[in-house]
Amino acid sequence: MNKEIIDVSIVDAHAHLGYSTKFYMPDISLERMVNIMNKLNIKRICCSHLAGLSAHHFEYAHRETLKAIKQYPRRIFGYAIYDPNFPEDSLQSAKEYLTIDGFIGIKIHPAMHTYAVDGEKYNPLWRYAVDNNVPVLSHTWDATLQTTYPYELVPNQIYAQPKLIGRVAQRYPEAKIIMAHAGGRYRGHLQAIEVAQRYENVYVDICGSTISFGLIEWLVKEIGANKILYGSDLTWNEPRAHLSRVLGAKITLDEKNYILSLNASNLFKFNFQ
Amino acid sequence: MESIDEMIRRFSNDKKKLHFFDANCWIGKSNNLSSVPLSKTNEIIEQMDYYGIERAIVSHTLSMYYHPLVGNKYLLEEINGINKLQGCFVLLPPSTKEMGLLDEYIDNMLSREVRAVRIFPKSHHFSIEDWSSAVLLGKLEERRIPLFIWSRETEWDNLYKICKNYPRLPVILEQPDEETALNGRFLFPLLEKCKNLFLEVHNCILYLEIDEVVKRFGAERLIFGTYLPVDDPNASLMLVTDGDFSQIEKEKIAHKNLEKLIKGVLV
Repeated sequence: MNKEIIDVSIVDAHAHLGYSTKFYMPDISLERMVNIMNKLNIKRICCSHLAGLSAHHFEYAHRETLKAIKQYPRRIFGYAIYDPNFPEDSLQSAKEYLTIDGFIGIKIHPAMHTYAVDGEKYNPLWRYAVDNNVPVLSHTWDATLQTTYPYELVPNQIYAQPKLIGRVAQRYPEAKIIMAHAGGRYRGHLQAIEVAQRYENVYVDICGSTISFGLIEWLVKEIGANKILYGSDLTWNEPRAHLSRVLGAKITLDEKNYILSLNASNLFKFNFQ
Repeated sequence: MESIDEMIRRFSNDKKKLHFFDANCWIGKSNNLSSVPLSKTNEIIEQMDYYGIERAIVSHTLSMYYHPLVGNKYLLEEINGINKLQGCFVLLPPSTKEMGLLDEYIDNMLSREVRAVRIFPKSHHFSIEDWSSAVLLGKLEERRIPLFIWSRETEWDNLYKICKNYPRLPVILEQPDEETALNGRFLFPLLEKCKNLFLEVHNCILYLEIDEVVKRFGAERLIFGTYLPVDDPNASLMLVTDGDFSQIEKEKIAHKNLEKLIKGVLV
């Protein structure tokens, strides 16, 4: 480990602001978010607003994200959102907000935006991300039939399979891409591992609605701790549930430091700000 | 701020203080695909020791994925003489007589120290409406035997009917293998209306859900579980150790509530 880097404060690389249409959220206030960050020693949190993901309101999402950044500077950071259904407008808006201190990357959600991540409407984003060295956080998930009742298949996840990220990385090897949820479920994890192994600039995060036994150790073994980022998916999912999976994992302290702090700090250049 | 190293040590110490009793633990091969497909009893005990879980109620996957009659029998053989494991049978309604006579089966179950049951109406294809399951549910209520049921194995309306029609039956809702965030608008009114409904916490990973349930309905309504070895026990352990509620409430969730339900069974 680089001994010169002394700030190993926890970074949550995948979080949200705002409501979900589909379900109840007990408290989405910024005050509560920062309160729980303080309690869990999370120094920085990187958020995208759900209004730009579950709906196409990226302008509203960007405005609300900026408000949060201003209310809690150096604690709350923001992702701009690129929506392939509105490629020109959303890229223009993202570009404008990315000039503002506190915006650190771009979030895309191919499943919610129902457009394949390797499709041509994403090309302007990838070109911009490469030219400007902006990390892109992409939702990824398993699109195969599940093995337990009711053998669920979520059709929209077909647009967000990790193997499609592999095709993007092949075309844009310099693009820094974080595969959210590391592919979501077991077969998605297999794809994500293969892609992260093959492409130097492709990372995974560990958040989401699954908390599979042994996943952290498996990812560390297959792709190395320096390609894994801690994320909570807050205000959707629990920061404690995912933080504990790293703290309690059967891996070394150095590996935990990379996952919880150093990888995100390096990717988003937090140590240089 | 604590360092990561300090947080790891605190998490480990906090777990020890709470004497965790796991309500949702499984032995046998699972249908869930996994990078670490643990199944043997000694492997599960090894993991419990590693994660700081002192005791567990266990079911056998054969009971769920093959047939309850076979799985329950195997379960008893597997856990025989192991003090930290207590059995949880899987049952079917009695009309088909697959499990023999219900009264005899339950008497035998109780004599083997089994104090909880699960049912899987969708996987095992039966109705939990009264025309099919009244005898089974009535018998469980009569003996106050805790009934574990998965949210994806029933309909929310049926869960409400069970709780209302059998008010002295402790019903514990579990939420494995699903996006539990989607359940809140069903779950909260159900907890509000049905005092005999409890929630097992292993997949309570909707942001702030556990704190909100404690605040609105009391820690008495939550039961600690892990869904080991399918899910990572760390998640539910830290939801309790770092919950936004008192140490007394944490103790209730960690072990006391489950102990109370088990002691309440009329043998």
